[in-house]
Amino acid sequence: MYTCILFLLVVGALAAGVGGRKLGEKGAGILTSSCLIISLSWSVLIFYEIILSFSTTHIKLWRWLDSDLLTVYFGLQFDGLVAIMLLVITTISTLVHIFSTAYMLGDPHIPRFMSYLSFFTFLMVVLVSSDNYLQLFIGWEGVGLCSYLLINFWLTRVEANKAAIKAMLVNRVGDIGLILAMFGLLDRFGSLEFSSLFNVVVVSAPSSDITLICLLLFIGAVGKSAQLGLHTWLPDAMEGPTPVSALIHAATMVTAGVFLLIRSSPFFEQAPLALMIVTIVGSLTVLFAATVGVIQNDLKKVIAYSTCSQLGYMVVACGLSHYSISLFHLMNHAFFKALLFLSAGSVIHALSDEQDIRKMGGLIKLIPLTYIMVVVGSLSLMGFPYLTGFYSKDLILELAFEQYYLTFAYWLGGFSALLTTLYSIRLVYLTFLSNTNSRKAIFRRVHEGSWNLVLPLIILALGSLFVGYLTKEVVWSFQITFPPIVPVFIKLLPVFLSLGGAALVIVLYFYSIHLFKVPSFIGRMGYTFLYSAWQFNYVLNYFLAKRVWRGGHQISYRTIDKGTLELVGPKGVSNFLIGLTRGLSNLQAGQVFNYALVILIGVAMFIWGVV
Amino acid sequence: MFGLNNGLSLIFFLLFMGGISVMKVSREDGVKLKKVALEWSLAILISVLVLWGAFDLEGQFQIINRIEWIVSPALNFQWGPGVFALDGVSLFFFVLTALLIPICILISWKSIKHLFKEFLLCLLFLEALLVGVFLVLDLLLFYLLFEGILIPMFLLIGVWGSREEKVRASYYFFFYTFAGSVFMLLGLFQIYSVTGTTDYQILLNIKLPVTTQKWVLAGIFLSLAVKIPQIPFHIWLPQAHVEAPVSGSVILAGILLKLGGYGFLRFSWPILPAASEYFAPLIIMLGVVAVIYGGLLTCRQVDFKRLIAYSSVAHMGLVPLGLFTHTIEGLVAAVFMMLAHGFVSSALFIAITYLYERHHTRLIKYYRGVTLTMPVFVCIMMVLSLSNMGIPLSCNFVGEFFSLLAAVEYNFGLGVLATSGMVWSAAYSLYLYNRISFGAASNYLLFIRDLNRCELLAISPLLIAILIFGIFPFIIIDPVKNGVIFSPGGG
Repeated sequence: MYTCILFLLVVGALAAGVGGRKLGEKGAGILTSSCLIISLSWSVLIFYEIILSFSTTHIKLWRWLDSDLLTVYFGLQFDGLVAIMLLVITTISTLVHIFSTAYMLGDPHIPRFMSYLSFFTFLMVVLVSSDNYLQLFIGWEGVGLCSYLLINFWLTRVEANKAAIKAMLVNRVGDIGLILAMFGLLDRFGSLEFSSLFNVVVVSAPSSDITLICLLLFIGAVGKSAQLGLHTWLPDAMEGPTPVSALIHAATMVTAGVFLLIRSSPFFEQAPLALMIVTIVGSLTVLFAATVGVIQNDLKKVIAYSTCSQLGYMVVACGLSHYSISLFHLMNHAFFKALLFLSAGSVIHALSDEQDIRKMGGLIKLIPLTYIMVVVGSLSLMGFPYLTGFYSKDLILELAFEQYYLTFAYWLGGFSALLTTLYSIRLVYLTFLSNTNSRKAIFRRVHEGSWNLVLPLIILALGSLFVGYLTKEVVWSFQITFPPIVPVFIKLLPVFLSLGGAALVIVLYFYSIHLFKVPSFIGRMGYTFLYSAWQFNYVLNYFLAKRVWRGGHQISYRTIDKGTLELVGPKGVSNFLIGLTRGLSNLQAGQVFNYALVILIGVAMFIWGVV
Repeated sequence: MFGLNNGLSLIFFLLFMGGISVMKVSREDGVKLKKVALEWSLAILISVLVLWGAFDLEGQFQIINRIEWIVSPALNFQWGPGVFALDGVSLFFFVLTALLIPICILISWKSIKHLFKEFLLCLLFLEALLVGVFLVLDLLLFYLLFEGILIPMFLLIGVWGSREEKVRASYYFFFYTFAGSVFMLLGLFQIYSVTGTTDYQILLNIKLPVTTQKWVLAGIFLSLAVKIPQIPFHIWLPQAHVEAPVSGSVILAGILLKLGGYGFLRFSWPILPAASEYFAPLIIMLGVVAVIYGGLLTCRQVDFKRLIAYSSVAHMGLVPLGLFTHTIEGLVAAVFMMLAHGFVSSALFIAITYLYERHHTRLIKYYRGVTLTMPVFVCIMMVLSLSNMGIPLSCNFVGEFFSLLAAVEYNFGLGVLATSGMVWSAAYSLYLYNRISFGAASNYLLFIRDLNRCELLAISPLLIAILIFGIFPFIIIDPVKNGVIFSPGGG
């Protein structure tokens, strides 16, 4: 049963990919979706067996790499963490598959799309269920590859091509961290299997090696989970189709980095310094992404920055050593963010592929169901009390406050909660409530989608409402965490901040819209700064990539390769020889005094005894 | 009963017979010519595979054939005997050679227009020399065969090359290889004058004086570094690749570059351990330089054949890097990396040539949106680009992982530098793939049919090999490991 879940996914992917022409557009959708539904039911069973019945499973497959000192087997390990991740992945993936059959309708490449989605799910399952780091790396690179392919799905668009290659390359920088961490692990512990590593590391004394390994692992996580510094690919990745953004760039793939942190928790527990850095980077990401999200005008980019920010919360939770809470937030986030993305997809679908929220508005009357979905998702995201997001996000903030030496994570997080509300309500307001700005022709065609577009939304909305409440004890049991004891004021502050943010938006947009009309110089500067995402792209492109590129051309190619080496090598030698022979042949110009001179010199040398 | 010990003689016999039968076919009968050559090379491939099946994975040198060569009882003088044998290390190069020759014939099916008979003979002659060079256990014979390869290769580039530049390319090729091998010959003379033998198996048990070792290794290094190609001696490679016909590129990338690494594997640690220890930091550093500098160079190419050639330079930098760390991982990595590169790089050259034959330009910037006209080709190209960047489950990943591991174990900072190659390789592979395949369809690329069956057939063995050896790498690693460990000084 356990390997079947992998098998089914890969069969679905291959059948839709290779036999897509035979299956047809509808057939491919039905086939992959049903494969996903079956694997979903199996992962429910796995959840039952592993979490509720406390029976973890380990399956050893065949030998992969082996050089006597280093032996790596393919193996599957199912424990509590994996069971929860599996449930999240298959649930979201199933819903996204069903959604895509409606969303992508009319695209001639549906089989390819479904195949990529299934393949992605397969690799994600490989990632979470592997029993060693190297096999995890297969999934790690594989999901990156699928992300590349899916961002590039509409392959004639240059923007999509650029975004895809950027995603892959930036991820690759993070992958170096993971690879180096693996080398470090091999060097220090001589193994890559979780079971042996974690048993060894618990009893080993904290050392700088472990801190280094943890930091390297964290670089990997930073790349995958779009934390500050390597986050630039995530907003660009929104070029892909919206279901892809929901599945890959919100719910599953970007959480792989957080998963890695949770998975490697025994190491991080031995490295306080690494934990501190994790917290700092995480909380900075929370703030950064939230500030940028407030300004964005692209519907999907707002949600993308929001994802980035929420990932920051998860990383902060890891940095505070509360891994189960991080996992809990991961799961909750998967539901409400997938809901937000899919309903954004529904909006975009309704508006004939319009993504700019300035050109929307007034949709509440035309697509009320989608409006409800967006509101539910946004409220959950804001951490409205007793919705799904509340249970994890508030807890993270309280836990952050408890860590007295890192309270600033609390303040940054709390302030970001306000910003979260700001951008969420702004999005809802501009898209649904304000007067419409879209063209009449488009506006008249706005409609709700068919059942397979709406059904996933409803299920996800239910999830966004209740999952947090229903599953909190189950997820916490993975690592016992008690809600910390903090003052009531602190406990309530995030909620008040959120409400304050909501009030702020309403005041700003309803009553003093003219404030935005004439921005001052500083206002414009701040706006540009935030709109361009703190200028990260500019700095990376112009100060790093461009210089390296120019160096690659001018120094290594033109100066060394085509210059120096050619001159020293064949060209130089042939020129030298040609020059030499020309000189020699000039000597034999038929002039007697030349010959006489040579004879004279020869005789002189003979007499002197040189020759 | 046919003894296994005659296996190697059988291969040479088949090669000889293949040459004879190609010669017998009339020059006008092009199809028959191709078929005969293909059949004989397939026969050789099959017998090589049978030999592989019969190979004892635990043993070292086996299937030994001796050739009494220069024997003069009157002068009490003997040079040789030339011993031919297989071990875990040479086995796979042997298989790779036998695999690539039929593929070369298939891919030249239409592209070679003139002197086809000579071309086939050239290929068979080359195969004979290559098989010989990987099997021989005598330094002088090794040198002779090693140099002999220069002749057919020189002809391949010079005669069947694509443009006028080909003469210069073959000059570069000849210049570098020949200048290097002079020093190798000197080194071999030195070994002979000290020990009185050039038999590899005897030399394994002789400890040379340290100073001699250093000079000999310096000489051998110059010759082998050109072949690898190690960084300051690499500029012949892009030239040769760009001008060579596709089969020339395939053989060059697939096998010839492996001669350097193979030579190091045979001569450096086993018979010159002290000198290898002495020179290791230098050579490892050159390997790291190759990875970074080669990566940067590759990123900036606009000619796709040249791009792949430079990517070979960058990838092959990992071979000496792994080899000279002198760990089991490093040695296994060196062999595995060479094999993986042999599959991936030659397949890339083949794939790129399919594109070239359709559109007749090698400039990447002229291409875009090929996916729309050639989906199958693009799928293949994707697998190859991904393998080239070393994605897990491709055989490049195994080699890359092991050699980087060896580098990290040698020195962490060095390992970090070498690992940065992962980003470069991703950058140029994806740049190539993205530029060619994606984007809106170009008006200037006329609609042209996708790969035909012959082309698909020619490239598919390599694709299958890439995946199989990526998922089940122990098929290769186990024999290689044994071969590496058993040779004295090798583990």
